[in-house]
Amino acid sequence: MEHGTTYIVLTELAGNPPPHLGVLQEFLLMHADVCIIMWRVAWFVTAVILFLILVRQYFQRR
Amino acid sequence: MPLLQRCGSAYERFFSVSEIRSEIRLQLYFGASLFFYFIIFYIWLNFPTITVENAKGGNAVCWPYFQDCYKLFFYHNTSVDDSRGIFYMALFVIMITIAWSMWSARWRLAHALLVLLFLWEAIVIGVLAYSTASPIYYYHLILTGILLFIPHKEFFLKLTFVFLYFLSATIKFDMGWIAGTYFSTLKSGLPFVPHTLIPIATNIIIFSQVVGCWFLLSRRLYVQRAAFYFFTTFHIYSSILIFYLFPAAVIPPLLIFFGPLYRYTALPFSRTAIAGWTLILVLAVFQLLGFITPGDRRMTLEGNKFGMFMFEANHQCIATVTTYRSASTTPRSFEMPMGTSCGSPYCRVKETVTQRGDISVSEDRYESGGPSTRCDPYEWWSKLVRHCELDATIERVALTFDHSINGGPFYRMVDTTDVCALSYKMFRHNEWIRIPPEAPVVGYPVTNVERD
Repeated sequence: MEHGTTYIVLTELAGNPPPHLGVLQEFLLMHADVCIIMWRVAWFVTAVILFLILVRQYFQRR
Repeated sequence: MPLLQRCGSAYERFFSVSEIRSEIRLQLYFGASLFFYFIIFYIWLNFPTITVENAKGGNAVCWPYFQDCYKLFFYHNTSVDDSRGIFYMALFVIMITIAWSMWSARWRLAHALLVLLFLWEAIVIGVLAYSTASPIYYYHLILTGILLFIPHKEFFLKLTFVFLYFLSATIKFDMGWIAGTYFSTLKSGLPFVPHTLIPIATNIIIFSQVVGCWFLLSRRLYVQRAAFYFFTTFHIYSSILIFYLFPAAVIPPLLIFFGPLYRYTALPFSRTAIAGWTLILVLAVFQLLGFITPGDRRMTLEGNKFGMFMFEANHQCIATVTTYRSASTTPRSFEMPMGTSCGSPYCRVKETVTQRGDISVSEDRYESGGPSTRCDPYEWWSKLVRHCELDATIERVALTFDHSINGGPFYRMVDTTDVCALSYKMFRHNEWIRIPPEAPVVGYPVTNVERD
């Protein structure tokens, strides 16, 4: 039956493995730190590029 | 010139109403914003979140920076009087008048009336209803605020719309999104996407919000159109999971400003643009506020209401509240059948009342109703402390709070014998909210469903 509430029997399940993960997910989770740093760097680099575009446009307009 | 006319002209200049008067895109967004007000007021009218009776029952949750907000509640439940209906009918009349003012091009009047709706939304979200506050409302408040108050409206509406995507990306730099465990731990997975491809889909979304969104502002037609079609498809697709409310806030501005009517707008650098650029800076700071508190905000939810947390994790939680009263009671117990639907943020699934000498002990177990229930320990603390204040027979209230994100283990994050003796601090980690490894693992969740 579909249900929103999980109704988990906590103590009986303690120590069970987490839900099934795909191969790609397993791989990504093994390299979690690298993945997170990679996206943070991408975000930061994008922010810097956008800021530089903003500054360039400002001086061009002056 | 008569005084009234002079005041009207000053008002028009101060809020740059002439931009709306002369620009069809802004007029269309004016209507879109009004449409969203109709939706949210319809929702608020049907929930007793900010009624006097909800406050009296100790169920109001105020923001940590204004914990007495419930004293400002003024309308009642419909079982008491019609004040709630009267108030929202007054807002309905305002909405109708705005529509008429727009139709007859009385933009000053339409603007002034929309300010009233904006103020009510801002008060509810920022002051009265902590639990209601979410990025859906932030989106609408921010965009409507620009429409009403900021010069260079079209430019800053477009820039802010894209910037909010960029800010929302920051909450997705974790394994719930990168490995896609948010969705793979849902019973339905990601609709139409095979289980194995979920991480690819979620990383495409992250890329679109970090880099792709900026192409919405491009001068190059094909690039701009590609970004527009991508985000339109994305929002329509996402409504399968999140239903109507967020798409209703986002799709109209997307269509109006980046659809067939899109035009490149040059960056404004005049003095009149200072307000707009300041707002961009404020939004960046607002997003950063969510990261100030040490610890994992997805687990502790400390500071999580700040910034665009759209959406940070698939939450599941169980709160067990044990209330000790100096009173006599009749022992009883009740338990929901396994698999019962839960259509609200939390459902009480079990209650046991016993008598121990002079003390009655009531143990209630609540479970979260879906992944988007934020499982915020603050909300439980806030309500239970109010219960202690309101009920003189309460000796103490014990609380255990177990929380899992993205299908990971349930951690016992709160385990206290008297929650009413604790205090909550903003922008600092509250020691009574334990984080792993201090919080022990007490179990593992099953797959859940986004909505029931």
